[in-house]
Amino acid sequence: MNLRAVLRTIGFILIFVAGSMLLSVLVALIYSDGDALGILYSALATAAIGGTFILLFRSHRDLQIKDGFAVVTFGWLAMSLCGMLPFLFTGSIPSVTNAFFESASGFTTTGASILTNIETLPHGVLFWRSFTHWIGGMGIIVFSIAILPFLGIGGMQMFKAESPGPTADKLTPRIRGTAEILWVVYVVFTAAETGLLMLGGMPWFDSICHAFGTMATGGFSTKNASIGHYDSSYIHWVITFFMYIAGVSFSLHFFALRGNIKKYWQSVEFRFFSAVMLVCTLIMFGFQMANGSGLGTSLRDAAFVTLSIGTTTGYGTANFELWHVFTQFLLVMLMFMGGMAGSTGGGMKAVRVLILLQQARIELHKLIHPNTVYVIRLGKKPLQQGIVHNVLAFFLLYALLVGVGSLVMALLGLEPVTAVTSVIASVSNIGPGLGDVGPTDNYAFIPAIGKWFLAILMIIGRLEFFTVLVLLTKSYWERV
Amino acid sequence: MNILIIGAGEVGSHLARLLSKENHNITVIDKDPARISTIQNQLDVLAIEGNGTSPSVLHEANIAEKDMVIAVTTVDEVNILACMIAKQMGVETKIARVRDREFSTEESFLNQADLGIDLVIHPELEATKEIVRLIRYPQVHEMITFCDQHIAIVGMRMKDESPLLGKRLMDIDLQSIHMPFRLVAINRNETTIIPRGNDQIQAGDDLYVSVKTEHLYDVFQLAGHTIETSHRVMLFGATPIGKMVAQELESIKDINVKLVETDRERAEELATELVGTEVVIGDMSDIDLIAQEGIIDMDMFLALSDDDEENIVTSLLARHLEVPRTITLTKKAAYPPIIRTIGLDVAINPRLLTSNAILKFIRSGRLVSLRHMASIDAETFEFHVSADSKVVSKRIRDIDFPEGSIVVAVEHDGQGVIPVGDTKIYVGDRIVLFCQPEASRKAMRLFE
Repeated sequence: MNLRAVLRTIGFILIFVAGSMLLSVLVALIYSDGDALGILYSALATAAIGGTFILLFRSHRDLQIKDGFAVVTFGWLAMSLCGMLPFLFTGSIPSVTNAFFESASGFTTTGASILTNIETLPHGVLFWRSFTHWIGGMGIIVFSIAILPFLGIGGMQMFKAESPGPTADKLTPRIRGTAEILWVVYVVFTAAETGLLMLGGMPWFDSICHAFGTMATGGFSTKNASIGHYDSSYIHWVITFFMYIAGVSFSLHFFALRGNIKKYWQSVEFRFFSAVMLVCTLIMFGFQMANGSGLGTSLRDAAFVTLSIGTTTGYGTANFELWHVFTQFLLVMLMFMGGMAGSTGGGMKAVRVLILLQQARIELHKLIHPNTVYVIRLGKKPLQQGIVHNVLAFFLLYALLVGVGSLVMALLGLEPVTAVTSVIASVSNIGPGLGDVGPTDNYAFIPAIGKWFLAILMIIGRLEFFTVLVLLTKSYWERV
Repeated sequence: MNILIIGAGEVGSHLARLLSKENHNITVIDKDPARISTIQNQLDVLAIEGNGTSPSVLHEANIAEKDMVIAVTTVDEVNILACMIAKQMGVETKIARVRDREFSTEESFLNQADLGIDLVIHPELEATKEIVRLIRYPQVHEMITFCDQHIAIVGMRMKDESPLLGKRLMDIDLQSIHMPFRLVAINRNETTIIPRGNDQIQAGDDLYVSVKTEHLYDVFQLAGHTIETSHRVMLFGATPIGKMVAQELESIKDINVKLVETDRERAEELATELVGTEVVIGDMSDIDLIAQEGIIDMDMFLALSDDDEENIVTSLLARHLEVPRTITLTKKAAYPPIIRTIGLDVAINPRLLTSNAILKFIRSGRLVSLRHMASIDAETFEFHVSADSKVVSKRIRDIDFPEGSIVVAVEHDGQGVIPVGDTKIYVGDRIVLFCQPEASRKAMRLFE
């Protein structure tokens, strides 16, 4: 591994993180809650660490495929570690464990919080909390590639390692062009949502923070009651709509913004994802109607909860723990799947579910017609067998991680539903689970070891296992 | 520039690598999924799997927005068709590799313009030209020409007879040598240096000198070479290149060619087509046979078979039998650098020649052309000097050229000049720069 080049690149990433902290300093100054200095110190400390890396480590060799994994994994770790400084230095979250959990939860767009009273936090810190979502959503690496010209081929490896989904779409010949496009689309939608929320009467600060949380499929709110704080159908529907947008592949959005709306419908994954969201919404709607809620409220809550969980955002309005057990389990199913590949959502991604279902169907057919040649297709495009194997391995790792994770949480004394759903909610980057970590609860009560464990799970989940787990293999560290 | 490359073989992927490093936006199309995934993993380019003439594939590659299409698949017809489609789609520059020479003859029903091709490249023909040139100048192992072939960089070995031997550069009395020349580089023990005043010239050095082509023989003498030409040539391999080289040599007086081929059928086929060439059926490793065919008396041995390894081994054999010069064809890019180390003279690499021909044609901004040297790790750039360049109206000695680079030639008012320290650079001049890889980026900045 080219350790020098890796550390140098991480240095640049930390400089970006420091730069984004300065934005929070600005917000802190506007509200003068007394948190500006704490965040400024954090920014300076982060910049100092990053700067030291850049000055200390120089390398003539380009980043190789191998190095990409290390940059992304350690980059995210370093980012989460530095990201907790504003919480610590302002005294908003005094414990290191809690601050790291909150920071990791932010960058990985999980949205699980240890805070019991969010509204007491100063504005600068609240802004930083939501901003970590936004940076993590599209990916700091994608951002670096768009900014740093020297990340040529090495950048592409990192792009692959960070971007969600079994294959990484390249929209332009150069990876840098693709990264720029993705960020532009991201910014456009975030700005649009902010505007629409402000039109609905939400204050500008809350609008921006919630737009960050929505577009990144994060889930940190500035209010204790999350979106439930706003008694406005308009706001609920706007956020529902943008959660859906954030769960869809950004490549498709790019084509749509260029006028090629047909691309949405041509994508099998899009149709599948949309169908699942629609069917689940209708089921929830039925149950809510049967429960005696009004027509409008039922539809609104059903759609909001389905998309909030289905896209792994995790905003809360209605407390679905009071809903029928059937719908609760349906939501757990949705937690596994998550958004589309190339979206900001977590989970397994709709396309992987689609491939697994097709593979399962083929195996069944093979029992009857053993000599037929089967090809898995996404739309008209045949899939390479290698991708199918990759997806199978992914699913296995996912199941394994949830299983082992639940055991660990159970060992720490959590009750079964909480143990399982807290792990799923972390690995899939959702936030709320069921039981003691339900939509109205938080993660504050979990023992310190459990918090570190879940925070690491969030990073592993955000980077889709392989990128992180490959570092644990022996062959990665061997010279040849 | 947005460039579409169709065909990711040796030439295609080499071009993709070079051009993407020069910050062009490259899209590559190839039928072979394995090649596509290799390219995707190694280069920052967009790689699409599919047929280079299929409308849907070309549409996916966004052909309408390309400035240039380079079709270098192994199939002539695919390359031609791709260029015709590109022409239809309004692509400005179309380059195709066409092996069949009948397309470029007068009897052809369709000429280059009808087909919409701006540059036809022919790797075997490029290789043949290069080989013939090297046969005519057996003293050199590499030669690149500039300024309408008036100026050349030649690479040659220092002989013991050279008057320059053992001298430091600053001690060479330029007044006594009545021709302008510039020592560009010395390759010694596999390292290339750009010599300074107190560097010494040693026996066994490979010298790279820029000189006017009319003074070539004077330079050869300076390096201790005699003015010799090859008369008896033995050629191994009845391949397309072998055939073309034999045909070219037939037209030169005083050269006798003997072609050895293992395969009876191919040998007989060639014997009927070649008039002045003696074709021998046999194996190069059969010492008795080649001794009988007079290998001892040969001036030159050419190994032009399809098999790189066989070419190298037979060349070594010829060397062992004291043939003064050998030319070895290698298709693999890994071999040319070792050719001189193992005691052979010249490696011919069609891929490099082809991509050089294409790069020469591509004009991007101030940079007119770029060519890679085969025998050493260096490249030559041809720059056009614009009014806003930092070098305008400066003497060469006052220009801060980066370490590892040297001016080879200056073309002023259509006249090629071998530059000296006092040579002044004007707007509109063309400058040829020899650069080692680490210097090229800095050198380019001088002309931005």
